[in-house]
Amino acid sequence: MKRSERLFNIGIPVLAIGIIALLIVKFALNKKPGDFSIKDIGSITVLDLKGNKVNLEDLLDGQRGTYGLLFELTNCNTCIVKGLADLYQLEKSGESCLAIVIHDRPEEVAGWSQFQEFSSFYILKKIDFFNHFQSALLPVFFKIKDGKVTMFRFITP
Amino acid sequence: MRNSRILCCLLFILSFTLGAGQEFTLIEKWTPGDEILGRECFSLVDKDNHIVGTFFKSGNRLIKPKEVMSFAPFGQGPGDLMDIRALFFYHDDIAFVENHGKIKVFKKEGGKYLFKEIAWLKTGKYFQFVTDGLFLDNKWFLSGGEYHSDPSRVKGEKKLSYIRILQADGKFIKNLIFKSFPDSYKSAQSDYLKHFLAAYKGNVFFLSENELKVHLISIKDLEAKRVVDLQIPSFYRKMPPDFYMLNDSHVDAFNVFMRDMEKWQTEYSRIHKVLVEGDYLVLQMRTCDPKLKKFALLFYHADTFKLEKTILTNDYLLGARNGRYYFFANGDPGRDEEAEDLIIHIFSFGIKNEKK
Repeated sequence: MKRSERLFNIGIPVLAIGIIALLIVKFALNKKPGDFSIKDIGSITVLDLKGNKVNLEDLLDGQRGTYGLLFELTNCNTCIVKGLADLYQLEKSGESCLAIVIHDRPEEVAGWSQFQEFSSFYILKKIDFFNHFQSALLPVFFKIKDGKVTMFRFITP
Repeated sequence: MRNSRILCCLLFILSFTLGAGQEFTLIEKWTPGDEILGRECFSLVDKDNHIVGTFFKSGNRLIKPKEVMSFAPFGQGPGDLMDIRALFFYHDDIAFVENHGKIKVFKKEGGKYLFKEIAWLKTGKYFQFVTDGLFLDNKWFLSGGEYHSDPSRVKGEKKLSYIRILQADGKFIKNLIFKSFPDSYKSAQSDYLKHFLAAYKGNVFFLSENELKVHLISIKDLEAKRVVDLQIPSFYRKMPPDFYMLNDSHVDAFNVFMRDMEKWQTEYSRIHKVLVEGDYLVLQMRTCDPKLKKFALLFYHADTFKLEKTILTNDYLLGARNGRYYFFANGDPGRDEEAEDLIIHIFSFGIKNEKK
């Protein structure tokens, strides 16, 4: 067998294995099954229950971090209740906590939230959710510290 | 002896005077010139003697003698409705129960139903599958299975209640009628099971679609007082033990489940309408006997619960008011092929009305 043929016979499989490994790294290993991230936290505004605009960053405890629950009213009820119960307990133990409801009408959220034990509710308009948040599932329980998401957990039934 | 004879004669005369033995007569027929595509989900007859209802595929409709009006389209806006769980009267207005403890009230103005207000109610930790409601004595009564233990647990006992009572401002008062199930499958059945409420004198009647039993709840004491077994008619075809249950054939095949759902709802004598009219508790169910007409109207006396009249008909009961019973002619448009055109039949015990 000629040297060039030998090189070809070895080179092609090596090249093929290399390409396959590259594809695995790029498309399989790099892909997380579920993800949650927030873009440009500093530019996000939310509404309080009276409809007043508030900068999300002003509600966060930069040093100790803030626990949050992000959800829509149409999400699984038990999941929302579970998440709010966790927030309520954390708040009672002195942690900074807030619940963000994705909705376009503050009065709906105000009506819904009046019977909840937890009370720090804020409203995120749907357009702001689409522009700034990426979340594979809702509700999502998270912690933000220094403007970054340090922990998140999707709540499922 | 003489006295008893006189008494018998008096009772006989009285029974004729009060209309015992009167025929159930068609007194009016509406052909509003529209169609309802799907099955009836909820319906009632309002203060103007118009039919209000939610119909699968067609949505919310107000049916008048000469026209059908649509209102409250599907959506989340103030005058929209989605995920409707029940429809009932709220004072002179009508109330729709939506998901998550939200009740939307619509008022009739200028012959149309317009959105009036939202009432928020305290929800439990686990969801209540509301199927009917009443607003009485400044309180909300909602029927439907509500879990009191984690419904996602595969094994272990499941505890459910079937009535939730709340104050007019939405604050929780109490749950009533508790049942426990040894496994998850049995309780899964409760997600689809329909429970009815009707008010009579100082009581609320609670009935489930699969049982000829009435639970009496005192409106004053808010306590379940007693359970009455209703007389079972001869044609009654009891629902099978596995009705509304998900099984292996339903996994990844929702159409199979819907096919079975249709079978469970049309091939057994499930109660599909409960109302109180005059002194009668009126139930409608299918006879499931090809030799008989499709449906039976059972008139139980609301004080004694004695079955006093049984009327067989091919029409589907939508509601009643002032002794007039409103029906879809030839059955439910979503379940019975014969009920293609929208024709309303109004029946009454007594003399034929001249207005046609």
